[in-house]
Amino acid sequence: MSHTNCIASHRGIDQQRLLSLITRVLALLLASLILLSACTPPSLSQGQRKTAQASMKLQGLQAVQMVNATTGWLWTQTRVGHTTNGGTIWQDVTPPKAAGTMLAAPSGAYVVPYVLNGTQVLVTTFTAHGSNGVAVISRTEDGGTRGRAGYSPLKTCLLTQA
Amino acid sequence: MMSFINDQDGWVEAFFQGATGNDLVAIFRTTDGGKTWVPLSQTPIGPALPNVPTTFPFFGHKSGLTLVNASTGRAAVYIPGDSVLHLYVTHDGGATWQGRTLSLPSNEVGIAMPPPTLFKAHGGILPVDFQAPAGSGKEFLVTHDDGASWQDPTPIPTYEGVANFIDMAHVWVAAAQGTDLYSSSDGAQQWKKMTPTIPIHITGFAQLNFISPTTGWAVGLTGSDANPKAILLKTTTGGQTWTIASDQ
Repeated sequence: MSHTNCIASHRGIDQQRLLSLITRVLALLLASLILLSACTPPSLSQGQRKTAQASMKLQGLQAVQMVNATTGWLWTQTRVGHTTNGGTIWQDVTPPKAAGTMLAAPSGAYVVPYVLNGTQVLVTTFTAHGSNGVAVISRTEDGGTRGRAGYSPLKTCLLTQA
Repeated sequence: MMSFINDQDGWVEAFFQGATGNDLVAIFRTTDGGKTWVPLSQTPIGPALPNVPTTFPFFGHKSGLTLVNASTGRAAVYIPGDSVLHLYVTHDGGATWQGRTLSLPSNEVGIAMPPPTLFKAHGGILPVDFQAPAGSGKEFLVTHDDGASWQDPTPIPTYEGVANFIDMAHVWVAAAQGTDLYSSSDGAQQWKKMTPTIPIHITGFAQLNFISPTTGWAVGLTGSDANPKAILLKTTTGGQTWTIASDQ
């Protein structure tokens, strides 16, 4: 009987230890979660991230081309912008400057975008090349998510009048 | 000027130089999104690209081209002051071009003509700025049969005013001077004149960009001739009222 009680008593102690261990593990997990949530910023949508950034200056605004009610492109004489919130905030997605002296297109603009859709745009810039000029076409595939790093300079250049 | 039919297939009319009113150009095509461009056609005399046929017309100003699919497209050629417009069509993806003329109404001469905007289902619109003894203005030549015939709807007195259309029916035109707007919802047959409400003084519209019959954006001109400035505007009322679209 006592043996049984002893066993029962031992079992009772084991259960208490087990419960205590579980409680401590749970507490540790909870503390870790609280710490993690404090260290990790809340998840932001792409639009929210862009809202947090300053909108590009629209000095020298030339044209706007929206693809739908929220997404579109605009360009000034020298810059290209992209919006995903209906045109309230514009992210500067101007392609990297080509080497050489930049020339203006007949319109007076130094960047000439051609909008394919909400994420893809071809941007032509012109640079001096002797007595002529070279048109350099760059293309972005990601709507400017990676900014200027998202552009791929296309290798073909077209000669044009300087 | 470029024209793409999807994100890979595109054409460009590349300007090389002008010669007494005749633009020397070459037509290039890409099928890989712009990585490589192949010359298909060029004007005689220049650009003199080797082994490229001279199948594009020498004379006149070239204002661009529009392809509607991989084979068919149109390019606009015009001589300012002429009463005849020239539209060139390709049915082989830009390798060869056949011309046809469009006569403006009597007493009218064309001054400026962008390339036609082509829509699916054989439709297209060709805006033309014209001068005439009775007054200058803008008209929209409209085709519903893939360019076989062009109708001449009602012209409006907005010579050199910017225009925008989202389909064959809905057209907006800004007055060249001032802030009046004209809109049509029946393919330029009838026009409604608007004097829009704008929360800032602008001297005129430099560009219109509608995406639906009600929603659009515009570049409004502020400042002076010596110090021109522009501002981005937005409407959700078809152009009747505008708000400043962005913190600029």
